[in-house]
Amino acid sequence: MSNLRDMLNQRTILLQAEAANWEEAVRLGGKLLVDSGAAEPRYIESIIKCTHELGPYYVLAPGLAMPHSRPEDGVIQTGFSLLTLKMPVEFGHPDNDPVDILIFLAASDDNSHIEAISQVVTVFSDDEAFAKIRQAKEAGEISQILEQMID
Amino acid sequence: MLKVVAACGNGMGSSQIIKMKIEKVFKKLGISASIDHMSVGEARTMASNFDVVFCSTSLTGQFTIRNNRTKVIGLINLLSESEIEAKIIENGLK
Repeated sequence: MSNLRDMLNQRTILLQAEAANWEEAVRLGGKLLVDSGAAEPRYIESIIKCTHELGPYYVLAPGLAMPHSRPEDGVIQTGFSLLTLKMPVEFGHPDNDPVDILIFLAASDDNSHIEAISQVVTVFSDDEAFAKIRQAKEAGEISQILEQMID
Repeated sequence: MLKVVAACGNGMGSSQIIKMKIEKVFKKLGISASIDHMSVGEARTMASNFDVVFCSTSLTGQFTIRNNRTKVIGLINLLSESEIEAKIIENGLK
């Protein structure tokens, strides 16, 4: 059973980072996924390519994006990474720009990420948790927030 | 029973979130619905088989359905159940 709390740790969290544009933000957070062994570099290229083709299909709510592509585009194992930005960037979404919280998803098949995604939904549906994550400066704060919300 | 599909860019991830949220809202409103989820590409070819297509507002332009039955509902905030509820009622589904 995939647990978001296990997959987000010091190695897969980068907070208050700087990115000049959405592509830089996707590469920055995507690198965490690659370095943690969840995906190959081509997975990140696929997200960027799909974004150019389809638009920012993964911007879920005001300020929040969940960049991801398909399992066959280079996923090694299911994993998540979290990137927050000091200054938000425009993704070109008609309603939810600008974005400053990016939760990256690599899912190895249709089922393995379901539990973790529902945890993402639980956490980010909570306005207080959302605000705390946005302002967090250390990975330990994120772990605390997740601990409080997911049992 | 209403035939519903949640569509997103890749057929997993966001369409899963939409499906999760609309399931909750339909249940709350007491509307009986079968809810599928797929990529926008697949949904586009099968759209006329469904009563309702839910997707992000950034993808509604991908659907060009010319029948009187299928409604395409664009969602701004995929995490907002109140938005889903309002749009369900707005579109006469309740």
